[in-house]
Amino acid sequence: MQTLNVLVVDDSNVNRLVVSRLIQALGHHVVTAEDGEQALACCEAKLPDLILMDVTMPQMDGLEATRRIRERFNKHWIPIIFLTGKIEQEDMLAGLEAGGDDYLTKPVDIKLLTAKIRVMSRIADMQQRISQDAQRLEAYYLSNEMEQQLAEHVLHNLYGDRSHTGIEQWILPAVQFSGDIITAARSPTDTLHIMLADSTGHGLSAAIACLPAATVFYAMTQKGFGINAIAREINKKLKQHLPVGRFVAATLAAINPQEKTVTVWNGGIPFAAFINEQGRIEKQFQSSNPPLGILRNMDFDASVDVYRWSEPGRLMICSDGLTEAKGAQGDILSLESLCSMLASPHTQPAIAPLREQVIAHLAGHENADDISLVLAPCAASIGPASPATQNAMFTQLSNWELRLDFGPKELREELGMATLLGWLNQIGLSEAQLSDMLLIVTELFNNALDHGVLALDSSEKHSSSGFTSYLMKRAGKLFGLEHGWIQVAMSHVTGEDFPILKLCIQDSGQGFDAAPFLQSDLDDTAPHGRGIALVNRLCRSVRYQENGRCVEVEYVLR
Amino acid sequence: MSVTFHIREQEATIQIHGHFNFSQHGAFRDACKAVLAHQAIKSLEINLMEVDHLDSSALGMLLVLRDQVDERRIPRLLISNAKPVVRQIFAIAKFDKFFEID
Repeated sequence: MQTLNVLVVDDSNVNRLVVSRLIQALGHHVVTAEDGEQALACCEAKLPDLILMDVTMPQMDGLEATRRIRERFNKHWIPIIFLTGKIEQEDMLAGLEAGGDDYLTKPVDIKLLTAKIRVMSRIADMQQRISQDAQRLEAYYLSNEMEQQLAEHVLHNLYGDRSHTGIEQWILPAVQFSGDIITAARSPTDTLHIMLADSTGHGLSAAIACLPAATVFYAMTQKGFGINAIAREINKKLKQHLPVGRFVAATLAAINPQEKTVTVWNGGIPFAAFINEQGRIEKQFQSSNPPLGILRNMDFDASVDVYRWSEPGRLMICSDGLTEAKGAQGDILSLESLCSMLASPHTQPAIAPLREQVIAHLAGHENADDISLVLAPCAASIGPASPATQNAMFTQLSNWELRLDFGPKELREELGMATLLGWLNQIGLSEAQLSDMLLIVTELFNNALDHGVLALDSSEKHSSSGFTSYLMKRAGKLFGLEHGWIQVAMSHVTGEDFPILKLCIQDSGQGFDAAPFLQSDLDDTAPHGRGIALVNRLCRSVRYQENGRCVEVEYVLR
Repeated sequence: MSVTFHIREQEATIQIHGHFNFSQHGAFRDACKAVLAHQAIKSLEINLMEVDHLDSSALGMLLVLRDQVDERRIPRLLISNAKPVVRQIFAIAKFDKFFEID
C-alpha cells in the first residue's frame, strides 16, 4: 500500500498520541490538529489523503469542520472517518449527513483501523483516477472542439462559394460533418460543372475523403478540362490516397448552355435526371460506373451520357441519404412526386418546397445518412458572368512556334483536346484570353475530328432526334479509327500594337466549303456552323485553305 | 450471431443476417479472418439471403475482402442470394463489374 498523509483531529492529547502512533506503525505520515479550525488550516496548507476526525471538540466540532472541508475542497474528495465514543444511531447519521464517510469507535482497534484505511485508500485511488479521466476527457473535448472548428472553416471555404453558378443546393448532414459534398464551378468556356459526391460513412472522416475530389474538381474545371477527364483524375487521386474499402460515389455533370446539353458521368449515385418545366423526368442518368477510388485507372471507364434538351428545365441530383430516407412508417420517398414539384419556370427558386417535403417525410426522425440535393437550371444562359479579372501577363518568350501531330491512336484515346488544354494552360494567357482560346481550339479541333477525320455530317447533329444517333455513330467511328491525323500548330508573333497568337489546324479529311459560315450576317439560330461563326467573331482573321482541310486563325492578345 | 460461417472441404460460406452495415464490421472481419486462415479454401461464397439492407460501409468491407481473397489467390469469390433491394444497391455501385453476383 502507498504511504498516505493522514490528518488526525482530536482535542485530547492522549487520543492524538495513541492514534498517531498506530498510524505511524502502519507506515503512514501523520499531521495533527486540536480542533476544527486547526484542521481547516492544515487542509489549506496541504490536503491530506485521509482525515480521522473526533466529533466533540471545543471551538469547532467535527461535524462543522467536516461540512466546511467538504464545502471548501469540493473538487477533491478526501475520505473522512469519525472517531467517537458514541455509537448511537442518530450520531452516526448526523456524522454521515455532515459529509463523513465512516465511523470508528474509541478506543481504536488497530485491525479495524488498518482495514478501514485500506478501504478508504482504495476508494480515494479510484476517485483520483476518475477525476484524472475527467480532466483528460475535458482536455480531449476542448481540443476536439477546436479541431472541429478548424475543419468546419476549411470545408466551408472549400465548398462555400456558389456565386455565379445559379444552382440551388441543400445538404442535411447526419452528424456534424457531411460526407456528402456539392461543388459547382464555371469552366472557361462557360460550361457549368457540378459534382455531387457521397463518401463512405459520414462525419469528419467521410468529409476528409471528399477533399481531394473537390480540389481536383475546381483545379481542372478552371483549366477547362471536361468532366470525363476530371472524373478520371479524381478516381486516380482517391485510389492513391484512400484505404481499400473507402470510396466516393459521385455524379459529375456539365451543363453547356450553347449546345443545350447536359453531360453526365455517374458512379454510384442513385438519382440524376433532367426534369422539364412540367415536373416530369425527361431523362434519367443511370449509374454506369463503380464509385470513385475503387478501380485502377487502367480499368476506369470515363465515358459519359449526353442529353440535349429542347425546352429548358432543371438537372436534379440527390444522394442515397434522400432516396433511402425512411418516413414514420418506414416508407420511402417517391422521387416522381418530388420531381412533380419542379413544375415551374427554371428561373424560379424551387428547392424550398422539396426540402420541406423531405423534412415532413422524415416526420421528426433524424436522418440516418447524409442527405444532399442539387438543382441546376438548364437553359441558354447560366446567369451573370463572373467578373473578369484582367491580368494580362504573357510569358517572357515573345516569338515561338509549337506543333503537335495526332495520329489514329491519339485520336482514338481522345488525347487531342486533353493535350491541347494542358498546353493552353501553360502559355500564360489571362483568364479572358484562355476562355477565348479554349473556345476557338475546341471548336476547330472538334470540327477537324468530327467532320474532317471521321467525316460525320454535321446537319444530322442538329436535328432534334439525330443527336443521340450522331453521338453513337461518332463513338463507333472513333473506336474503329485506323487512319487519319490532325496537326495543330501555334505560334506567337509580335503584332503592331499587341502580340498575335496564330493557330493552324489541319486534318486528313475531305474538306468542305467554309465560305457560307464565314459571312458575318450568319444568325445565331442557324442549325449548324455556329461554331465557325463564333470563332470568326473572336479572331482577327479566319482563313480556310486547301479546300477547307486547313484553317488558320489569328487571335490578338489584347 | 449476425455473421456465421461454415467450411466444407475447399468451399467456405459466410452468411450475414439483418442489416449489413458498420455495426457488423467486427463480426464480418472475424469471420473473414477465420475462413481465410484455412489454407485449402478454393472458393468463398458470401450468402446474403438473410440481408435486408446494406450500406456503403458494407460495400467497403466487401472490397477489403476482395483484396484479401486476391492476395491469397483464391480462385472464386461469389456473392449469392441477394434480395432485390440489395441487388439494386450493387447495381448502382456497379459492383457487378468486379464481383461475381449470383
